[in-house]
Amino acid sequence: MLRLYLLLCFLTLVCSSVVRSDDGALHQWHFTKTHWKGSSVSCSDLSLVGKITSEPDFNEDGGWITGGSAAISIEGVKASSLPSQQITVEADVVIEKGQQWGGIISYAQDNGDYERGWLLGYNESAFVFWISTGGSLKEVVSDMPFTPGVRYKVTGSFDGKNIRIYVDGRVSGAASIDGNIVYPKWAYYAIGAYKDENENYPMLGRLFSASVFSKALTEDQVRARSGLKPAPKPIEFTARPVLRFTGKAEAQIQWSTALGSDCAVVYGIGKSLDRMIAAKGDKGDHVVTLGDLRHAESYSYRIVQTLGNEERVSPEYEFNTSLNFNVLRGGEGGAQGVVSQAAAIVERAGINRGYCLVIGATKPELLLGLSSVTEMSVVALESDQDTLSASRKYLYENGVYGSRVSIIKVDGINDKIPLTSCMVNLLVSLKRKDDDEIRRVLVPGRGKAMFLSEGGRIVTRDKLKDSGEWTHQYGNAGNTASSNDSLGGATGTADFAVQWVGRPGADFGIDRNPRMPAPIVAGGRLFHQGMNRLIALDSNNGAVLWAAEIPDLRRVNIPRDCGNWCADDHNLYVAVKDQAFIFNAETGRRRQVLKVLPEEMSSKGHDWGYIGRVGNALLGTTVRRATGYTSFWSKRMWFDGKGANDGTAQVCSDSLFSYELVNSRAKPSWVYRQGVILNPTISAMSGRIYFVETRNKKILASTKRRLSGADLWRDQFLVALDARSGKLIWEQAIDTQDGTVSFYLQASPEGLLLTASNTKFHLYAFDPETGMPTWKKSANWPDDHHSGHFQHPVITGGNIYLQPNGYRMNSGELITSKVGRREGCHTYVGAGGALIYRGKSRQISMWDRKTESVSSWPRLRPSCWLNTIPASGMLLVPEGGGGCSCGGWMETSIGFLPKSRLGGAR
Amino acid sequence: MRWLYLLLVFCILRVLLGISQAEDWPTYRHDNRRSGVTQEKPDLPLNLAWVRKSSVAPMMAWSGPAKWDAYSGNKDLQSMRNFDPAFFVTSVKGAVFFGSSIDNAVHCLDSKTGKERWVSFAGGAVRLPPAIDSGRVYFGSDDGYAYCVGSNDGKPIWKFRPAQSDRLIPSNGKLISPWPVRSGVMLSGKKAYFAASLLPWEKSYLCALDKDNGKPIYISENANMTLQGALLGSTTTVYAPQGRSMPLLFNATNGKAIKGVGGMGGTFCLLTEDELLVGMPANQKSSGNVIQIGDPSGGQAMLKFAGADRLLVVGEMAYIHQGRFLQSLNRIEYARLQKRTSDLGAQLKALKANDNKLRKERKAMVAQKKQPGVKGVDEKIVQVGGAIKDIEGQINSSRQSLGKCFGWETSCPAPYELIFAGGVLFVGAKGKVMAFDAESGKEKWSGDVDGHAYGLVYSDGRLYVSTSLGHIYCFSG
Repeated sequence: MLRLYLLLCFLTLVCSSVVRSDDGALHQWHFTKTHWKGSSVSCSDLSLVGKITSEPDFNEDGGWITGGSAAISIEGVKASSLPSQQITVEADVVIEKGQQWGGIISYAQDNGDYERGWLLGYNESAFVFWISTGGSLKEVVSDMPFTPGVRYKVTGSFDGKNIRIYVDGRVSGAASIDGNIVYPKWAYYAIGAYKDENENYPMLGRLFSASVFSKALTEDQVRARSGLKPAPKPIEFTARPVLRFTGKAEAQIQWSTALGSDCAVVYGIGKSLDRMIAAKGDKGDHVVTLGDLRHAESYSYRIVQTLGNEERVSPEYEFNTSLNFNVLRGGEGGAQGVVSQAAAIVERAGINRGYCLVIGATKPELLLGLSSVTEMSVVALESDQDTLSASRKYLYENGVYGSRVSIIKVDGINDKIPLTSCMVNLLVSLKRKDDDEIRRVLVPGRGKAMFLSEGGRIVTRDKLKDSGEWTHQYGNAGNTASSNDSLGGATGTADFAVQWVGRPGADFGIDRNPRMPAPIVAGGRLFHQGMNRLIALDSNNGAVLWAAEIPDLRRVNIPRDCGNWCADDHNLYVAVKDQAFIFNAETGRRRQVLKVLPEEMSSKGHDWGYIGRVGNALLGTTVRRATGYTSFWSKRMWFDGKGANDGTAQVCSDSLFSYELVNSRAKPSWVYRQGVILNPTISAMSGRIYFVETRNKKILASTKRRLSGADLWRDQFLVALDARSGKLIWEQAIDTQDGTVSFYLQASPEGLLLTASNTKFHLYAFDPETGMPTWKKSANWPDDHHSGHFQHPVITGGNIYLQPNGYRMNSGELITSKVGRREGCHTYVGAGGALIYRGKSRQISMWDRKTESVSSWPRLRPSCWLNTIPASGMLLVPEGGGGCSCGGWMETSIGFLPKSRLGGAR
Repeated sequence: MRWLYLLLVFCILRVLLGISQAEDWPTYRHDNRRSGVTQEKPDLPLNLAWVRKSSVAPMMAWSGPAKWDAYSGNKDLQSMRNFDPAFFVTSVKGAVFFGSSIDNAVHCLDSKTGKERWVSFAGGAVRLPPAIDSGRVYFGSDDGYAYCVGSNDGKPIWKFRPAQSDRLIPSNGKLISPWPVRSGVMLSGKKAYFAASLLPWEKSYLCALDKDNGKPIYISENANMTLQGALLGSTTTVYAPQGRSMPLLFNATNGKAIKGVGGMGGTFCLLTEDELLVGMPANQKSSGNVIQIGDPSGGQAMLKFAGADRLLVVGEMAYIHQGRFLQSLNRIEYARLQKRTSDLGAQLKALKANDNKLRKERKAMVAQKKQPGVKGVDEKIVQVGGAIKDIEGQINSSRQSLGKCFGWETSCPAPYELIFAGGVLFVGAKGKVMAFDAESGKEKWSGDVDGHAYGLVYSDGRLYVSTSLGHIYCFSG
């Protein structure tokens, strides 16, 4: 434990000792006062002299104040004298104001498509480092914003394969790129400005020093130059950590390591890691319970592991107790007998979460008992005022009234129930007999009513006819972007009533959930992702079933990748870096942790890419580490551009594999390895898996798997595999237009649809039985912004919709050019007779396929890709856009029920 | 005669010792302008008299704001709908009242002991404190009703729901009406005002009832609104905040919507005696907090205070917290100078445009070799140049004077609430409450609390502090 304590001290005082090394800089500049002679400053390379037009000004902290004419631009520096195979650029800098084009030190030319050289700089809010290897520049952006006026040590490095940006010695962004630095024929060697042939944007801030190295400094070297000790080795998790709030002021963290060893968690409020608690468990499984957590506070934590004389440390993770959705358990004042009765009721019904309606409040002890033995919100109806008052008083005195139990006054106990339809998970009737009104309020397919006066007889409400699910990113494994939910015939917003409203709110996600995985719905449960966290809600009433904080969960830019989760009635399957978790869908208990297949791919640095479920097959793919997109800060990370450097590169997989699911347990089944699979094309239907892969030799030989460029679009094959065996059913060489902006594959009974987008949309249909092409079409983009140019087609009712057009799926015949006009980045989804999207005034809108009319919900904003889900007989919109700071958005999760399904509740 | 003598002695002593009369605090932030100002002078220092602790933090209507807007690079987004972060209290004649978002009730406590006198349940959460008048307690609930109960016993007198539908829907583990009353009930003359509203695509109701019997005087039905947060009122106008949209003005006589106050938003609002509205910006585009003073009638320039958390207006003075400092400001002079600077800026812009135009004229004349004309234009350019210089000088002078409008400045943690009581400023902060002399800015007292002190009330010699944990503290001299 002493060692852990010392490690804790190290972590908290990590900046206390400055270890500075020279590391052999090619150019070293110092800008504090003593290094200037008049308006000139010298470099370690004496052939370079920086000059400005007037005497330099200095801040109290010694920094040279840049801005206006206070910038250095040296002409005549030959590119041949600069590093080409590897480089590190470092600056000790203060930025006073961010700007679109911000340069600290550079040798670059950026004129339209002509992008050459390198630049260490910044944008409106974050630091950037980019280099060019011949094509478009490759940029990495620091994952957190800088604070104006604060001094930072910023470092960019390129080792021939990887480009990284460090802030204060810590890795803050990375990407892979092959090749050597390609320089422009001519450029300024610029310091304190973004300056090239036709642009000059001075840096408003201060500089203390800058250096250029002709090698890529190692992470430890960069850390040392920022005063940090070498990074401890990372922990090798066999089960990556998951944090769950387990009480009002309590959270539990669970993880596993390959080697049995001592583990602990260091944590604290804000960034202070000033508390430590040793983990319990054995055989590599660890659990820590953090207690006495403060209400609505942000915490940081790290996991530390002791292996003999060696310490290993996880990255620093965060959680916030304002996202603790745990309910207060009912008081202990209830008579034991009544708690037992409540427990017996719950056990028989098998329902523990959601809403419980008790008809009759003559037994307040039973209500207290139900709040004690379940996590349900308990609501009782009572007609007698004296009984009502006495029961409320009893429950109030026992500390549960309002927070867990409430009683509603009704005129008659057998009258209309003043609740919306389809919302009650468990109804307990003391005296009332079964009737239509009772059935009306039950959750379809799952809600149960128990009649105590009839010996505890239980009835279950039938499932709604034509209700659907949304089990994968685009609705189903076939990626149709539609569900088979009829929405009760609703085709306009006026056809819906609000069914529930509330959590999660805007604090749950990443401001507008930029191109994040879609929510999914299965078994009446709605699953939604936020900022490295997920939540399970009851679709019908919005009750929180469970939630989990998963530090490595985040995935963005889904249009160029694939979703990271799927679900069925029993389980939620989530890909997290090199693993996949199987959660019990109802309770959130982690049932199993799976590795990518073949297993050695995990140790070779592969993550779990695609995840999908077909029959008993749980499918996955392997993606090389750090290939998927995770950055979200800045406009650039909204991935709305068209160029290769705008996030249009496709995330690709090296293998496709399957686990066989038997009784919610998964066991390895098969592995397919041939070409390089484009993740957005992986789709499945009727026991078959379809995808596009390239077998181009250059691509296969390359180390990169976030791919763009001509080779990606060569030697492509459309492949069909048998989901059970992994055996090839057919493969078809294809040569479509390049999908430089997006490239999607969808599988529907009427055919396969491949959609490539470059300067317009190109649609290709194939026979799912043979892979033979059937028809093709091209269509102009409606817009080249806000996803207009890479919207995902919808296949529903035998038609394809890709705004502004609709086509017959089986023939390609144009059926309309009046699809409701999108005005925002949310892509279209289909259900029943309507499409749902971000339309008029950027609000959630519906387009009636038959009448071609549009209706909208004022001030309701969707996320920036897909969060309007037609499933469970409803339209579900978990919050995804409230962090868009400009509009008057409702900033809430909401569920809509078609009015046709309200029954008598108007 | 003896009692008359004693009264005379008491009055003389009151004047000599500066003891002010005990005042009630009958509604949210003291009055319908939500001023947060009472003339009752506190007797410092204060000591903890009692505390009522809650086992559960308030169950707020809405979740907190997004952590950031990464796309726009905005951090520290303000919550624009946190109108119910604590159990705010009102206090009248030895009793303390508060509504609870946990137990769906209004509570009455004995102000001396904190002991509960009665509790009156509603059908849903009560998010704002009740308004008290003539022995009656008025409040709104998430169940869609406005209520009136007796202040002595909490017994129902009347309740009224404007929406026809009795359908309740789930929300955050509770049940609400799709038309919850989240505006509180505002009393003015014979009327009790409240709003029942939530979803912009449904109707919203602004209601005025006869406060004696709960009968409607008018029910104003409106579209595309989401009225939430405490209503404010002048003699003629009802102001209704909307959170992430601009506050709306209604004619108090007939309930007709008049207009919105462009550029403003949030639910922290107060109305000055000179009919200016203090509030938050219309959106979250600013990183960090901003408080604004706007003229609802339009025409007058807005004052914006970047980094400000709370602002309080007492006559011509404003007290404002920016950054780490609490400061006093002569707001009238500040506004006058701001307007003058703005007007001068407009003049300067016009002069510069004229100067530009003249120079172009001159250039053309030179090209056309119209030498006599050039001379005349040169003279005009000199004249305009002189005027520009003069205006620039006035702008500089005006800007310098702006700085002098600020009086004292004192280091102070970010306040969640700021009130004025008889020359003392009380600041509610994280984990503590502080008192500053309003004349000098000197700290006079502080007390510790658990949680963020969102609610402050000074009444009848007692300071009540409502915190984010649901606790209510009472400090007295």
